[in-house]
Amino acid sequence: MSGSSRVLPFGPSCSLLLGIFIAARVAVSFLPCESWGPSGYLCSVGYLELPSGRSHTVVANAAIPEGARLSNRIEFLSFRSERFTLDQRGYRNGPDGAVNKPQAVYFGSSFGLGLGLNDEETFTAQVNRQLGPIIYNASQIFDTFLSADRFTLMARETGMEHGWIVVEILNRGSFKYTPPSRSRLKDDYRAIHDELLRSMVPIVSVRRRIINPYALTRESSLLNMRLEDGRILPNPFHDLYSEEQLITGRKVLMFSDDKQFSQRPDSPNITADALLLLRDELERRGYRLAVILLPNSYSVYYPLLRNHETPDASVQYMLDLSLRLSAGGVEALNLLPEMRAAARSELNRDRMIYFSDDAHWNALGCRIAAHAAAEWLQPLLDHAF
Amino acid sequence: MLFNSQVFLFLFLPIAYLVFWLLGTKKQRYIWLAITGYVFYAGWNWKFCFLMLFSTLVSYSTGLLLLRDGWTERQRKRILVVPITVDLLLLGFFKYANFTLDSVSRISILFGRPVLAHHFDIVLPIGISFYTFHTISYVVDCYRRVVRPTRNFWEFATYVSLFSQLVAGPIVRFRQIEGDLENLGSAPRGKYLNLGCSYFIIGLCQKVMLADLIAAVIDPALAHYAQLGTVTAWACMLGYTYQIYFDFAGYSNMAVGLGYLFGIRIPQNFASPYRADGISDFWRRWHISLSSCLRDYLYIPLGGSRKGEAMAYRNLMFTMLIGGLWHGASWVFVAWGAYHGILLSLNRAFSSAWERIPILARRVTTFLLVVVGWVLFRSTDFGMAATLFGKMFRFETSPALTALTALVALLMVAFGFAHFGKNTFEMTHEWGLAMRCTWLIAFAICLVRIMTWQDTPFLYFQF
Repeated sequence: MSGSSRVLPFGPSCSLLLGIFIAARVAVSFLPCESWGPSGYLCSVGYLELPSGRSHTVVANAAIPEGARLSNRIEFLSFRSERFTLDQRGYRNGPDGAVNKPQAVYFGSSFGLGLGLNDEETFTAQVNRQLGPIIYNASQIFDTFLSADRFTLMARETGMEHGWIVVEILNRGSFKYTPPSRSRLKDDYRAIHDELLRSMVPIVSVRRRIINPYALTRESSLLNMRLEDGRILPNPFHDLYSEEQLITGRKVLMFSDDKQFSQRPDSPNITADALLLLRDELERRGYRLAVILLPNSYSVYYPLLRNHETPDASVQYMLDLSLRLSAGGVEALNLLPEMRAAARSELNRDRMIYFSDDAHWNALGCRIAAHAAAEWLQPLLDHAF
Repeated sequence: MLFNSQVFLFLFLPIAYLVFWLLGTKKQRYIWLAITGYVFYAGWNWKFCFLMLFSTLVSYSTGLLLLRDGWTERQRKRILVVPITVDLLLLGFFKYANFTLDSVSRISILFGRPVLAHHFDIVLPIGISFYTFHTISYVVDCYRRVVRPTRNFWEFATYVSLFSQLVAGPIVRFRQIEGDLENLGSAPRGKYLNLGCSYFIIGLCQKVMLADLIAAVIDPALAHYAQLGTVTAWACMLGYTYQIYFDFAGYSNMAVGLGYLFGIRIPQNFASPYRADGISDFWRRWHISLSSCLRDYLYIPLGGSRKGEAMAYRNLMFTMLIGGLWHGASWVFVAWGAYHGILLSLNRAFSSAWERIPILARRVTTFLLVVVGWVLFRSTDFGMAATLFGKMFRFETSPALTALTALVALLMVAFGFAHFGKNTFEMTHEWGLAMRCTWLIAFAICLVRIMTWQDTPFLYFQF
């Protein structure tokens, strides 16, 4: 090798560099948490990527709400801390671990997962606080729609031989339980999250114990998108969220599809039929089905909006679905009346029950929903098998 | 285990290297290298280590048998039949059983007498095509008396399981590294460390900074190939042309570098193939270890060009068909082999006319013919290949690719390196201070990327 004899030869230089990286890799392992990022959103994506089979604690020290980021409304951006703990199976069941041999397994979406919330603020954590450790959280970031076999498999894995499968149905405009088209919509939404946006958070993040200095650039560069002054440009997701004003003058972001809620007239019937079928399948396997109907933020705040030009079509949908399920003998809880009442009373105290910069419920909203759900669940559990 | 994975770079390689040079005797080093090879392989699936061990024992025993004096030529040939049959049966079962069943089923349908063939639930052992070639080449070379069979089992086990060339080649023949294996541990360590690092880093950069980045753009586009237009289809196939080159050449360079770290000189596998001025020239430059094996163990034993022109064409076609099939159990690979067989035959038939064409035109034509061939190679079935050919040769418009700018920039860089840059065996690997710093920065970037991205396997692992 040429060069001055005072300069370290090439091979040892490379070895030294490799040694530095190994040392850094080992050092990162001793950081107090495995991964932290700028948003709960990122954490939840990180959650999807974290390997199952062992516990993880994920801390977001500056959570950025999904809605404000995606829709380029950076004036809405607010930061909050967030702590995620995943159990051995990769589900979020709090730092104390999952419930052993639960009486119910909860299959929820990002609401049940508790996006933007700390472990102790999540839906199942609050239900368990009220009823004792009885419910296992098997929520994923997207809506859970599994076959009866998959539900059963998951329930048995938690040690629940008999008991309740509680399924969360969210009345989002774009998430219609009308197979097969809904699977395509779900795939689209997953594609957006998984492929396009996971790295678009504009600061250094630490994921999988490793510092990632260009979290921003991966998929954004592939899409010819870039961040300028904190905005995604060009932004194909701009219309995902709409800005609404409440009667108090407060501005909030809501999911545009919730506002433009459009379902076929027979959607409640189709959804109910599918759920009745699921109920029958589960009963054949020794399980019982309960359904929680979650309202979207547009439905909850519709009576409190300053502008009512777009009617809230989802109320009728939820009512129809709820009635159909009850008529079919499926235990169903429609949270809309409870949440609407709470939204009004809390707004009088200038408090929100949904994040104003995102379409998910906040800790207060989650607590209200969990309280209602616990009261509804208690008699069911008392009579379960 | 991948060369571009954290577990390999941060754990396996440092331990393998340090222990190797701390050991005092050659035998200890053989044993250590053999163990590391099996650990490396077990990183994928430990169960198939027994398969590799079985293949190793069969070939080693054959070597010992051939070492005995007193065999007649006929007896020597019979001895050869057993290991080759065993190796080919193993390869045939694991790689081609379902393909054969599937083909029989399809043909039976064509003849109106459908035969329902159930598929075996088979996992293809990674690298089986490569280590089978290693063991077969060893026994054939022993039979031909090209090499003297080794009595040292650990030396032979090291040769078969050498982790640097275990799962994706290059296909190193025993005679090519026999000398280095005999002198294991006595290589000039300092010099080889420099060379090894240089080869390895260049290979890593080719894989991580070119092949993977190109793949990140073209793979999503090719996943929706029906939506491509003419320009985008060509852009994708040009991208794939460079991706497969830098992926495999990068792997080969890393293998050469790793070989140097342990005092073993692995021969060249790529010699700037896209600078070829004819298809024959291309095959002298592309995957040299495979093409030379096919020549020495298939084409020449079939008669080569010694039995007249017609037989030469037949042998050429047969060799390339087998070469295509070796790449994968699919008729698309067979078609790719046939395509190259036809090109080689045409090249042979019109060689004098071809030579009169200006060299630039020959190079451009050869390159374009290779690009067209990659369509078959990249396609999962003939439907995809036909669609891509249709897109490329019948003008259609389509929306621009996402990240088209990035792809164009990457293609320009890849074009410069592939067509005008020196290949690693043309380089002196004596870097001045500025170049050392450049390579170290590039190495650091690759390491950061490996630490933050998911592992990306090498394309040739599937073969």
